[in-house]
Amino acid sequence: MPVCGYVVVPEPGESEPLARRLGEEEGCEVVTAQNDDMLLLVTMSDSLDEDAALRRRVEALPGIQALLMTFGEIDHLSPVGDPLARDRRRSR
Amino acid sequence: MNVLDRRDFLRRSAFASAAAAAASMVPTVAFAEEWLGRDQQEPEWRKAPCRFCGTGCGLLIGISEGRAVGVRGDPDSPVNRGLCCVKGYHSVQALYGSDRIRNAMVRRNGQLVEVPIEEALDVIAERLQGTIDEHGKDAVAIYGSGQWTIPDGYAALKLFKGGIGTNNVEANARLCMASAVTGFMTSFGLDEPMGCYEDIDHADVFVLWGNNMAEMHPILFSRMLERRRTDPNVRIIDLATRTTRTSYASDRSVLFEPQTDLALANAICHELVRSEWVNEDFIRDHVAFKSGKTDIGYGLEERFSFADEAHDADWEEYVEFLDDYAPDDVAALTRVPADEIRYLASIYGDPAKKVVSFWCMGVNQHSRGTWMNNQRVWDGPGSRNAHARTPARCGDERVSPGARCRDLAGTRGADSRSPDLRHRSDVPSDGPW
Repeated sequence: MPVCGYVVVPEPGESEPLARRLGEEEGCEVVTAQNDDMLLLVTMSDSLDEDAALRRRVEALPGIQALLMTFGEIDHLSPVGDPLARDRRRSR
Repeated sequence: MNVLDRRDFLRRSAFASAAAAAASMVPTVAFAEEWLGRDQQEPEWRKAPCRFCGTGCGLLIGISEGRAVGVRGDPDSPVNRGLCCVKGYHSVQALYGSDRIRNAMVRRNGQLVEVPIEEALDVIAERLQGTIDEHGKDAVAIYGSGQWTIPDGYAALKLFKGGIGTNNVEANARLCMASAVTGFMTSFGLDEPMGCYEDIDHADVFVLWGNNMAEMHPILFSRMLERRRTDPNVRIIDLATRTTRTSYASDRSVLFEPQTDLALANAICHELVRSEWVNEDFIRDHVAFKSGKTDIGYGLEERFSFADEAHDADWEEYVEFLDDYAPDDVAALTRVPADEIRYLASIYGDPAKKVVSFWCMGVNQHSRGTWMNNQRVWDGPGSRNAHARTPARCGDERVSPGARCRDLAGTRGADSRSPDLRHRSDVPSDGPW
């Protein structure tokens, strides 16, 4: 179950719209910097194929200047499912 | 409240590593910790050393239900002051890797089988004893790593040097720092560079010798950038054989041809001497000059060896030696413009500037690593302003007090040249033996 972390550097003026676009992608969670144009992105998916497809969708989004992977873990121990959907349910 | 589960832990770790990477790119960047989640039970935080490199960072490990579930930089650590790099954030993952060995294993009939640890220890003891009985104590060895803790190294030396009586203990120091040890011992008589991390907070100029700190030692790199942020007069000069992220963060990037850093250092010395930017009192009172071979060939061939022929020398002989290293001549060899060499010398020679030189394996691990480390006498007291520090001596904070190859347990020096073995009398009877 791949879990990946990225630093996302938006193109000038694209920080907020890019954060919105990324947040709308299933399996993506985004945190924006409080004082700079920089985003943190974590992706969680159920298989390597899904992870690759998600990565392709993210890379195709407009407004990305650089996408830097900082973390990658293929988690074989956690149960399969949409963890972000689970997190969203929990936070409500 | 929910206890942090593995999936949450990985999610947090992914955010934490991205945040750390972002901070190494823009040290002032700040993120709200919303990604930590608000409905999680706070784990119990315990102190631990980071074991990934030799910088010596302090970590706080979050423990929940007996499992490590989070990592933070320890704000009370004088080394990292609460910072943590990607390596540190990932460090506890190794505890739970799917391929981690969790039990003692012994090979039987060609297959590894799990056995109780007591049984495995009995096998080791039996094999060691049998080998020693048949071939002598120097037929056994222990091979550790820079990731040993101080107690790990202490116990290894206690057993192998104190108990068995062999010097066959390797904990990375011979591989990683051999040239530095030899260089420091022959220049200073002690296996330590001068300087400490606190120098970072007072330096005016940082000179990085073949040392990509941004990616290799990001915590100290961050401290260096923070020093420059608080004082706009601070300068960072990157000397390297290739352009790295460190180069991009520096104020001046100087590229030199591989294997020419010793010539570059000698050219700086040439300029220091020619310009009379030398600490003459220190040279007169504390420096003994020796001259040895200068041409030993490449030096890394199979079975290479050479016998040096060191003899007493003096200041004048050293100055004459430097005649070959005029900046204009060295520029052709190193491809570093002569003006850059003179600029570097002016940095080291300015008594009004406090200079810190950082270097690491770029200096140590090449065919003239020992001679490059000999040059540190100029980075420090030989010139008029500078301090030197290797940012990460591959487990130095652990290896040095515990497991250097030339020491007995507890950093008690073992001088093999001492005919009366005085070092043994330094060991208390109730001490490490």
